[in-house]
Amino acid sequence: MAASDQDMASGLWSGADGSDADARPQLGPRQRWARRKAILQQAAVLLLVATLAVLLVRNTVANLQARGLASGFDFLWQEAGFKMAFSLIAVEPTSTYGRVFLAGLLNSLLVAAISIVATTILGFIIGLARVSPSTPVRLVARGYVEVVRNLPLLLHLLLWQTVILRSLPTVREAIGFGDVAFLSNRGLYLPAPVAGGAAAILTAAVMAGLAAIVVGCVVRRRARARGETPPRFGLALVAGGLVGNAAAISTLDWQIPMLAGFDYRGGLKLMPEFVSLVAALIIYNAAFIAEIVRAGVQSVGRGQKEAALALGLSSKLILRLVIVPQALRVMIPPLANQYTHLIKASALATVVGFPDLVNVFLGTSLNQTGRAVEIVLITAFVYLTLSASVALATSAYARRVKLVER
Amino acid sequence: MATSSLVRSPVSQSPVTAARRLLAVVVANPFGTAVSLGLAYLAWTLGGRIVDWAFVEATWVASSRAECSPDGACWAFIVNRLPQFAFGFYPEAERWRAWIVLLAPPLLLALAMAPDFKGRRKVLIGGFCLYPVAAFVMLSGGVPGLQPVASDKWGGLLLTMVVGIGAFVFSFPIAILLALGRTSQLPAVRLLATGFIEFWRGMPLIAILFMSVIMLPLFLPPGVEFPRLTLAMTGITLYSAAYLAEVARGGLQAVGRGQSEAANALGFGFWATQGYIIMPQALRAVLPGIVNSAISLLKDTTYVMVVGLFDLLNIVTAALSDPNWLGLATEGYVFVGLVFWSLCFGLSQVSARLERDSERAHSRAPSGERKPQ
Repeated sequence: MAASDQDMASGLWSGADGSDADARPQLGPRQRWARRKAILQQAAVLLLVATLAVLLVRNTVANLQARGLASGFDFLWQEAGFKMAFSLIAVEPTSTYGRVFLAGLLNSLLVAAISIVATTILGFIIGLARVSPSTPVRLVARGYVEVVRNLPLLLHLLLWQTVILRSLPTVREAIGFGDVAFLSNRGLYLPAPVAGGAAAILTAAVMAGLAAIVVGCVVRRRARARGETPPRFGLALVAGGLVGNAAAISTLDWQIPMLAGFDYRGGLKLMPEFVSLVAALIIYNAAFIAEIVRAGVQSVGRGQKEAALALGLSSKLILRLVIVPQALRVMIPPLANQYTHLIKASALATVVGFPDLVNVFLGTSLNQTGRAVEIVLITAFVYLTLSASVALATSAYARRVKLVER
Repeated sequence: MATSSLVRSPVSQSPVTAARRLLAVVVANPFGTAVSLGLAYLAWTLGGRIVDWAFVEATWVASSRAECSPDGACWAFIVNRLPQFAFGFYPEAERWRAWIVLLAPPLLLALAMAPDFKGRRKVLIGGFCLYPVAAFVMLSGGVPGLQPVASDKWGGLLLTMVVGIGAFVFSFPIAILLALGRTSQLPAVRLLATGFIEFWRGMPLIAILFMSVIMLPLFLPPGVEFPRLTLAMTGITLYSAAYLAEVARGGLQAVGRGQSEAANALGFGFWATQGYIIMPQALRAVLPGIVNSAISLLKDTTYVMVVGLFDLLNIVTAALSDPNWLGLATEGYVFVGLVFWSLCFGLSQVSARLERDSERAHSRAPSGERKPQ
């Protein structure tokens, strides 16, 4: 503190009193008073907050004791005793609360990941339609945005849950998509790959293929950025990876859902709660992303488009090579905001009964164990970490695409 | 070829040139044209069916689902339950109080917007500050002349308005303090404000509502109890304050540093500078953003469903399981949708107009003034 004070003061004084460098710089009485006042004010604020915190903690401890509630994080290793309707990792009634927490977190992340990818695609399509040269297309996109974003997300969700999915045909009359996927009022049935004995080898092969593609792309990109012709082996890596992956996937055994009795057997069954949650999240957020895309595209100067036209680029190429890359820079901060929103909104799963983190942990687990403080702390930590990581990833990406002015 | 559609020339249009331009657009953009034709066809067939369902075949007066025409909407369900959807379980003899609370905001707004009305600012600011308190006293009663009504009897649109407007108004002063804290010169204050804002912004509202119902009673001294509505509103208010604080911070950054320096030179203290010089400019600069926050907040009030409060959406959802009116989810949710849509769309038009007005004001301002930093 003292050192920085001195630095600042000498910085202030050196201009006026440069000849006398050795003398300790003197602060005027007003500055000294201002500094003391700042310290006093901060101390007062901190004292106030600390008093409040102590008061709250004392109340909480007293209340917990009065209600005879235990505390501590040991419950995470206790048996939870309930099953989850949907989970990516196996959860049995004998599983611990820790495992339930993990399964709930994975479910939340799954919903968020699928919705983010799909809503970005849909949002871009609608956003570009918002600035389309064709008036009817623009009008339809505008109508979508105005209708969707002025309705509460929860209403979207309930509409999907009770109106749209319930009005779908029963299992026996399910809508088939080429006889491999089926949609009924009990959910969405998708074909699923069967892991045979060679599952590990297959996974390794696919991973190697993906790695080859990534390395190939990076090599080609680097060379292009330096203005050199990309080396042949880069292309070979990409092609090899693609062919290898295609071959690996084609050897997979796909299990197709088959109607057996009252339900489909085999394949992957997505419960209606999941389908309606993801559908509502995608449709609602796409309206906001469309507006972000529109604002981004409109932020690109008109001259850019005109210059590209003068160079003879087609309108499709102008969009891809001139408009979108520049618009992206403007769009990143609001997009990140929207993604954070979506991740948080996925907690609405609780309302329709999809077992996400808030539902199974902040809901059921808290009711069963009564460890309110601990569970709230863990949940808050998880969501704050997620929000912070989106923010970090965004700022890293924004730095990468930042305009380098020469 | 693409030129005609990309570059619009500001030529005045005669019918012939308009037709030519239309043809040029069709030629230049065959995909767009195909899409629009397909959409027109869809709108024609689907629109007809919707009109049939909602108006032609609809039933407006009936005493149960069975009396409704099976081919059309059964609006009788909404009509019969309208008082409940508006006021929840508020006792019938005291409904006039709820009417006053519900009608006061539009009436005050209409009064304030009347042309040549001198006291516009007084009505707007006074109404904004006093409405939540007045509405609370009016609804809960307990003062001479007004029967007490417990807050768990409030519901429907009334509850939506109380939660929405109340949380918005209460979050306003908190938001301003947080924004000032986040831009403060004092590191400790800045750190605290930033941490507070980021905590509430990082949490899902659903989790906040759960937390406020579970945790807040633990924080209170033993023996003190608050109704559920108060607990939920505390959570929503803090959540909204964090978002509003970020909007206000944007406004603070838009006010040039010269403003506070000039105020300092004139001998204004910190609070006087903020109150008379900075905040009025900052808030005016972000007025559209403030209205947008209000829209989000209005939509977010529906989340109180998870803590068992009967706002408009929840009371309609609950009514759907009435055995006399089963299977009318579409009608119920279309009604809720229309109410929310008109409120939010109306507010968004206000926001858009404010944005246009401020752009016009900016373009008239002398250059060099109000330069965003």
